[in-house]
Amino acid sequence: MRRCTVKYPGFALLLGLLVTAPTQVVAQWYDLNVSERPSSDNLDLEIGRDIYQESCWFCHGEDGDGDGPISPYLFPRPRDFTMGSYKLRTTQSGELPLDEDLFRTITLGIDGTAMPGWEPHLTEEERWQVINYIKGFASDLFEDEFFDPYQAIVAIGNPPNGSEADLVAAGKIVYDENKCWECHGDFGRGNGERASGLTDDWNLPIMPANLNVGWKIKGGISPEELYLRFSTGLDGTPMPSYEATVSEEERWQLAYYVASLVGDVESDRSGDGVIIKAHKVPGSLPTKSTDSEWDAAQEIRVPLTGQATYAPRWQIPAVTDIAVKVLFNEDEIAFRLAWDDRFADTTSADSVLVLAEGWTADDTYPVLFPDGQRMRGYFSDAVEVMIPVRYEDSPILPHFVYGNPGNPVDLWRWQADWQYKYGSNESMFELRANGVESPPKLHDIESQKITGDGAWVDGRWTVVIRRPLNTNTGNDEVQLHSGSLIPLAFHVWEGNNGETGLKMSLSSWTFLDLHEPTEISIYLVIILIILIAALLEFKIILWVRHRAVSGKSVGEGFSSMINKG
Amino acid sequence: MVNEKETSKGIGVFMVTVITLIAVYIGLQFGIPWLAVLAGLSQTPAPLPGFALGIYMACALAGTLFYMSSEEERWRSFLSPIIGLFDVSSSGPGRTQLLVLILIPLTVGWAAWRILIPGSQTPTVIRVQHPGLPEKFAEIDNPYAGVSKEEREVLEREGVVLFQKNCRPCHGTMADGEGPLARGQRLRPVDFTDPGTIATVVESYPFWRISEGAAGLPSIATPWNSAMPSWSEELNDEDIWRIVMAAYRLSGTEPRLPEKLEP
Repeated sequence: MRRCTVKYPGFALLLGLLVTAPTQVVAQWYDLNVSERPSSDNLDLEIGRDIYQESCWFCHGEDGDGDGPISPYLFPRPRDFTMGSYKLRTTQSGELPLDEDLFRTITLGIDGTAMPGWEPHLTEEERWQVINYIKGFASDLFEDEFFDPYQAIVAIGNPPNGSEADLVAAGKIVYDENKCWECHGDFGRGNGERASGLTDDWNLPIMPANLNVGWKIKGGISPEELYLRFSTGLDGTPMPSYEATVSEEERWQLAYYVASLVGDVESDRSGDGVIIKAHKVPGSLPTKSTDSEWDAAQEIRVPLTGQATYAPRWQIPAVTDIAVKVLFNEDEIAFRLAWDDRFADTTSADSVLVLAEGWTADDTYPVLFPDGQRMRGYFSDAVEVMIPVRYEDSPILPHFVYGNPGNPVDLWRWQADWQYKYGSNESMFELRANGVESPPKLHDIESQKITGDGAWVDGRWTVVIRRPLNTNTGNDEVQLHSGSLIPLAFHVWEGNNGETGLKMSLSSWTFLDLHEPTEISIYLVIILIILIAALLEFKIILWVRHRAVSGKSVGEGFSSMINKG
Repeated sequence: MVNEKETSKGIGVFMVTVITLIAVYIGLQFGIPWLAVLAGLSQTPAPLPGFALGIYMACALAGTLFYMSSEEERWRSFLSPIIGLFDVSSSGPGRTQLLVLILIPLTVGWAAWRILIPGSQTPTVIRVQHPGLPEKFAEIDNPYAGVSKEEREVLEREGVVLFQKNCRPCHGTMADGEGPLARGQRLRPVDFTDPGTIATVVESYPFWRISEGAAGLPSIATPWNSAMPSWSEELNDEDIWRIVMAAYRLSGTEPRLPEKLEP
């Protein structure tokens, strides 16, 4: 089956071109500035080994088997180099990668994983040296001419003619017909019916990519790079090559379609600002996430990270962004919180236990996926808003992980398991935390004033949380007043990722602006001020003229100044 | 003739004042923040806080006015174009004069708008990045300072593993502050390759920071925004020293040498 077949007319021609200058062609696909790959005669294994044993071994292992001392804490796990199996290639399914493929991965790193980009840290020559050494871990494959990857380069050709819109529309049909949605979901959020329970060649749980989040798509998001992924497959993962089953034209169409799903990568990478401007509405606040009142509120995307300050530290947060909208009226405030989540975890082993579990750790780091698979049915999905209880008294904020003793935070939490078991009225909890020594405690029952409702649709949770601005219970729950910036932060738990307690995604402090709409009288005051200024100006003109007439002129006049100028 | 000469001189004095103030503003707003970058102390410009800018500008204005009014002739030359602006001839104002006269009340209105309808602004937090080293830690020396080169290599390699396990998630594999968890932290993990960070302090400083973490920071350093753990709760001093040495090795920097007083 290997390399004897020439499937496409252009392939042989292209192959000839590539054999002469693969670096340039690959660099062009990858939009990388690479000089020519040095021949292996000019590379020194000793140099490559020194680089590898300084900077790579602790994850990928001294022997390149992906089993370095850091690997148990990483997910996805570091690559095992001894198999010669790589995800990101320009070669056919099951083939070895080109040196240039490895060069790209080492140079750019892989966003959303522990693999950093080495461009500033290793020179171009050092990267070629270490590639030469890494290939040595599977030297039996790389040195065998039969497996020469340069004889198995995938044809890339050119995108078919037609407008981009036509390609995208045609690509959508390819996506549906080839059942991409079975894993990646109808909207590309990686939530297809077969997404749960997927494993890679090492029997570790693996997720289909969320095609809406461009910066986490490992192989890049240009149509060329996406075309390559469909053509080469991602070796070692359930993502197959479609080179044999989907025509070149259709793969290009699919590439344009998937590229169209990806948002604004640069702004996705950083998230939005830190001020969440609440919108004041005259009437009552919406109770459902789909109500049209939400259209008036500005949406802010707050980036989240894993909780890493206290053990158990969480290095593999599933949720990396939360989209926030806030509405308020005279009496109440309502949050609409939305985040991508492939699987709705609406049951838990023991809700009472779950509130406290994950708060203590036997070790600094928790074991990732102890059963070797994603945890369904143990932990519920949940979201929480955190507000300092005494934000008005002092500029000293509580610590952003659950406050400190003496500087408490209030928590407004929604839990999916309680909603699905007892209804949305029972899904909300107001809690108090004073640091992480013990789990947050529920407020008294008469202080529980929040209401809410969550809905999971097509791989995305949208949860509404409402509470009176002021509770008037006589207890000391946090009270919200417009006119000051109210610090707040967000916490999200993705149950099947094993998240509970301190194993969670969390944001830094952001600030809520309960923005009172400007009253019409203020505009009138401004107009009045302008009129007064004009009147004063007129007075000065009269005064200057009066002085001039009475022969006390100081200057020659404005017009002469302009003329001189 | 004399009059005309005086006038041109007057324009000069007034324009000099305006140009001076603009130059001072540009210097404060853009020059000062970049000075630290040029001096290699920081990699990003640090803008001057708004209130400091206001105070400096007020000083500059007062100083210029003081100088202008110190001599009667100069003061009169200085005033003449201002008074000239309001000197509307009987045939009506010139076009430019009219424009300026219209702009003045509008500017006043705009300022009132800014004050009465404030937009949302990020709260300005003045944060001291390098608070003083507590005395307790200043007295501690690296117990491995005198070891042989070979022993040091072993200790550093052990430190690298500890660094990669515990520090890498935020501070990055190469200690550049770009770990996978850095993205969601508004107070970014420190980039140790920045010459303004660990290269400017003695070794006991990072030892203090690692040992006590956010909890050990004074409030001028906004401990509530820092995700830094207090590692002394989980690691022993020997391991923390190994990590200190690894951080310098990975970032390619050297600690500052302690200043010892001559006896």
